Amino acid sequence: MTIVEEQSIEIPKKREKEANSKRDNVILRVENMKTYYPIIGGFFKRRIGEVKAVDGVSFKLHRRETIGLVGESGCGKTTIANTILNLVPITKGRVYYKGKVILKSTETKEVLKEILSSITFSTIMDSVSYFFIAKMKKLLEKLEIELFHLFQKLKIIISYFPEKIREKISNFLYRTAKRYFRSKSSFKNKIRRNIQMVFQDPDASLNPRMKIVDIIGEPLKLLKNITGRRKLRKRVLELLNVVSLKREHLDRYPHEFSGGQKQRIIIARALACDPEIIILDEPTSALDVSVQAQILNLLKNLQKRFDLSYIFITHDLSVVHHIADRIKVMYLGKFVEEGTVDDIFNNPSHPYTKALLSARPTFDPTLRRERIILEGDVPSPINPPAGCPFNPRCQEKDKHIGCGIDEPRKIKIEGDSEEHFIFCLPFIEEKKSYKGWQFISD
Amino acid sequence: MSMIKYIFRRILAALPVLFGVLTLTFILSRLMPGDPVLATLPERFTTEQYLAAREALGLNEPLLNQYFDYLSRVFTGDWGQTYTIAKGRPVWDIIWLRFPRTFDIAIFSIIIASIIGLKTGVIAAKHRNKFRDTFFRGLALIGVSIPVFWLGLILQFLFGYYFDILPAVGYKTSGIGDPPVITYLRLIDCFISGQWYLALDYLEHLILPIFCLSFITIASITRQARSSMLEVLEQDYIRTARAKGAKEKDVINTHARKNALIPSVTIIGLNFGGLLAGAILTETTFNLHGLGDALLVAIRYTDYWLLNGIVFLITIIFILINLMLDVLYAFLDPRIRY
Amino acid sequence: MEDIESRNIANLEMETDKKKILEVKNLKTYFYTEEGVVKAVDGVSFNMYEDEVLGLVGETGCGKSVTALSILQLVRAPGEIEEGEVIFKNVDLLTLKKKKMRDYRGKDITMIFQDPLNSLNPVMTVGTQVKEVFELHQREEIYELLDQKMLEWKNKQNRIKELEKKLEDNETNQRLTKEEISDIKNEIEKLEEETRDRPTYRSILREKSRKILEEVGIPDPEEILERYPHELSGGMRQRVMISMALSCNPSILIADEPTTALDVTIQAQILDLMKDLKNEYKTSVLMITHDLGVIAEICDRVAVMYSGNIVEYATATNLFKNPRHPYTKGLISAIPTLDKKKKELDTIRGSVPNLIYPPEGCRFHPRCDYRLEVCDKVRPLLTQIGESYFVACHLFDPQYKDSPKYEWGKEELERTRKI
Repeated sequence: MTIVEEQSIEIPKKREKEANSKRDNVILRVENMKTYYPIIGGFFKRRIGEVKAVDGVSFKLHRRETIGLVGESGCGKTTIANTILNLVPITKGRVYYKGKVILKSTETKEVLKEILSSITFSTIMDSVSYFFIAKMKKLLEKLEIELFHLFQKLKIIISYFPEKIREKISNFLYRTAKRYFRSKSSFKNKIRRNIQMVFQDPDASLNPRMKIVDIIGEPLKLLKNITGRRKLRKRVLELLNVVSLKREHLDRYPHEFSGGQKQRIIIARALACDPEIIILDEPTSALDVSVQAQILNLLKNLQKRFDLSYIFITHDLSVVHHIADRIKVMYLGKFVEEGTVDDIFNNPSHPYTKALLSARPTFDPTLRRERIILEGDVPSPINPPAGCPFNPRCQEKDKHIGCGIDEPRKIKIEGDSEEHFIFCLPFIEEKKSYKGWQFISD
Repeated sequence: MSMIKYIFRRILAALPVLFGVLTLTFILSRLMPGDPVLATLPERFTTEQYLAAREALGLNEPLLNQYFDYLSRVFTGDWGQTYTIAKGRPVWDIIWLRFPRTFDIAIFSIIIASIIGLKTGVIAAKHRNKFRDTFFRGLALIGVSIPVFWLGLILQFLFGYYFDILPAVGYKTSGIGDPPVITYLRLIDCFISGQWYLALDYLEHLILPIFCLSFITIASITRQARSSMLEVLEQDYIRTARAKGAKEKDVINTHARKNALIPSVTIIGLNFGGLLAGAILTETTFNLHGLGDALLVAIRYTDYWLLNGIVFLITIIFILINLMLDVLYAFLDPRIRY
Repeated sequence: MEDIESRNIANLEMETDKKKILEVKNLKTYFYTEEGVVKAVDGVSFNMYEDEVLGLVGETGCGKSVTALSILQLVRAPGEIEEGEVIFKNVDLLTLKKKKMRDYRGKDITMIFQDPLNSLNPVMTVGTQVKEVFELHQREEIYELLDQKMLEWKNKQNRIKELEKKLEDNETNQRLTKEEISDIKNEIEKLEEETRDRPTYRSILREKSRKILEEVGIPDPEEILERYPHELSGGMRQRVMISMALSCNPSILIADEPTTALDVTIQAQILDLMKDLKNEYKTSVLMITHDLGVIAEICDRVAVMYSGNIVEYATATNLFKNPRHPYTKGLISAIPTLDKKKKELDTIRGSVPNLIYPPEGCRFHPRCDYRLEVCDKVRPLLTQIGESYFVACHLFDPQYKDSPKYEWGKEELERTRKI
């Protein structure tokens, strides 16, 4: 048996300079993301409603940082991940990757609004042309039908303008549309490579009929164009070594591995394309405690070694405490509290965070505190409660004003770090409410 | 209410399928070798006779016109005329004459097969890898692999010739007469008109073909019932039932059976569809003059209208059976809602 | 060998004044698979006491669920209980006939499972499934109750007739005052209201089911009885499971990972409910889980399982205060907690051994940092090392006090560090 020493592994430690040159190191920015799943029903299978899986969420992910998304099942944390990876269409909002928009809502109305809002009086006054239609035709082949209709309509509107104006408008529209589609099509190749995902169930994400070398080699072939058996095997072996697996594992099938080893294989596959961001969706919740510790340690080491940024999705607060730098607590598609690990664990301020923290069973008797037991279940996101979504279960409901009526506001908790916010409503007692609390979105 | 809506929607959705099948059979039948005109002519004929016959059949028109003509007629109930089985009679009549006989055999076979097949499947699952299981599985294996005409011939030889206790061919003793046609179903007509001896005679003739068909159907139902029962018995809720202290009999009958029935129902439905579409081999073996027999004749003598009519009917049958199955699922499994 | 084992089992008594209710002695359950014999449970012994919660904790594949299923004899083929005794109230359950055993299941010893969705029959309403338990085990009681209620009902009917007759008589002789008449009329009305529904077997069953669902904190039980399991939330389903398990007031409730599939807040609800119900029903609970937090929350005693054996068996407070067995120590330090904000979590080297070919001697020795020379030769047995404290480890056996510590080779260390 040969043990490959760590030094022999050549995975480029790139992006160092690039990282430092960037302004504030923000690698991923999510702006007011909304993801609604349509509910199809009725006689003609129309859209009769929507599940607001993610409802207005914004955050920034910095380089070499781990964000913990915490919440119960059905709160929309996995949907955030799926939306960022464009596995489900975003309904509203934008996602920026290194300052560039990688995701925008594709709703016709949104695009229309955007295009129309850019057409100012001066642009109209400038322009002319017949080339519009010819140019558009080339583009239209790639367009979706919805957009096709949109441009058809615009064409009619434009035809009323004098010829000169037409060309300018059409040129402008062409450019806008092109930009829009370029950002969309480039997503697949380029961004996909840089954002990888690790799923919860290791069994479901490994094809049982493929050998390990093929499983890890697949993204290398597809996204990195590494062909040639030898080269591929060499690279896969390097990756296996990174996650503490060995040469003899190369030609085995997934069922021959334990749960922890499978998760290592999946992490190796995610690493195959030198990603910058890895979204980890409950990577340890199917594993035993001792194996979980191994995987968490591995993830931490990898982060240091390859400058990775993690979005760590979990329901386990101890795990998130161990691995995350900043935490977002989610409830029914919205953030209820965000802040650094110390903020959240030393000074949980939102009632839901408090309940979540106290509900966690702990075996250390010194840490045991009065448990807050929430009543009832999480309401359905199809028909979320009015006002603050948490209000039907909130144990501090009596102390605040307008819980079931007003949307919660972003409130800064003073005395903690710059980033500690809760989304709540003011206290009934005037004095109490503003002590140490600062309202942002008033 | 939602169920009625669902059924209505499914029927609407089936219209394109029907249309497609009509078109496809029309094209395929025209591509078949053979000339239907020849069948209508005497052995010696002149060119004029041929052309006249062609015109009489409407085959001299351009193909597209024929197609649209046929389409317009199909949906008004005129399925054309046959010129092979009974010259000049409407296809509709032939189908109504032949289909009830096939229906009789199919419904008897499927009822017997489902009762026995489900039971043996459950027994086999209950005694997994024991003698009874091996026995029924062996029988099922024979059932799915035996050629139906061979089984038919053996039965005919044994019961029709060697023991001479059952009629070997046909659906009635020759010269015994027919009941007045009321519902087209011979058995019911016999009862309505009070001619019991005709009903008995009919049933006597049906025993062998029904046995033959149900034996094969039982085999496939048994296999399905056994495997789905075994799967259900592995489920957690069966463990819960046992943990409650339920008797093994109750575990099977109340907890497992309904769950195991759902996949079996699919097999039963598809088998029923197959039987209704006409068991060509069986009907030929027993000389039953059913739908399958008519289909065979239509293909052999390129009888366009008859062929198209029968295929159209089979399509409708399958669509209806699939619809029935889906409705049945909703009754069996509360998780399915339309 | 035989001698040592029997000595060891006899010593397993805990210092407590509570009555022993279940005694598991040297239980062995093997699975005869094509690859070989999987020794899933290999000589497990423990006791359960009245009104106490025993936690059975261990990682996946350590045999904790199989132990529980063996107690109820619900192990599926190809699993077989090889030997051992399960003594419940002086009866060895393993020697009972199938029919006798069925009477214990669901009545004296009940069980709830990890996945409440799959553990409830999807095609039967909640009501049917809850009622089934009563029908299986309390048929006679229900009939007795029915007789009693029928008697009451008949008495009330008779009373109504009596009162009506009184009123009729009054029409002729006018002896009653107006107030008395209205009183009688009111009483008749009230009685008629009460006797509107004739008590039946089904109505009593329904009433009982409704009550038990109410007991486990299900709002609107009448409606829930008509629902199907898939229409309920995870927490609700687990409540229904608990209600079925508690409906016959069992002596022992075996809970196999009851909260693992649930969310944290729902998990807290269910644990809270189980605590309350346990106190109310005076039921002993065998809590099977991999979550040490749950154990600490609810258990009085803990048995730690590893690879088909119990390696440590003690009261919960003692165990968490000072775990002795290297495996338990490793397990506890592998859990990320709020106070240890360390750079790296402690891990246990290597992975769980194959149960077809388990390691010789102590099954934990290939992963143990405190390994002695003797560890791969002699199998350690549960021995008492303190008050109500049992450990199966040679480190605490005076017999092996002088055994030299095993020196881990460098290569070996390196190999086991990487899985």
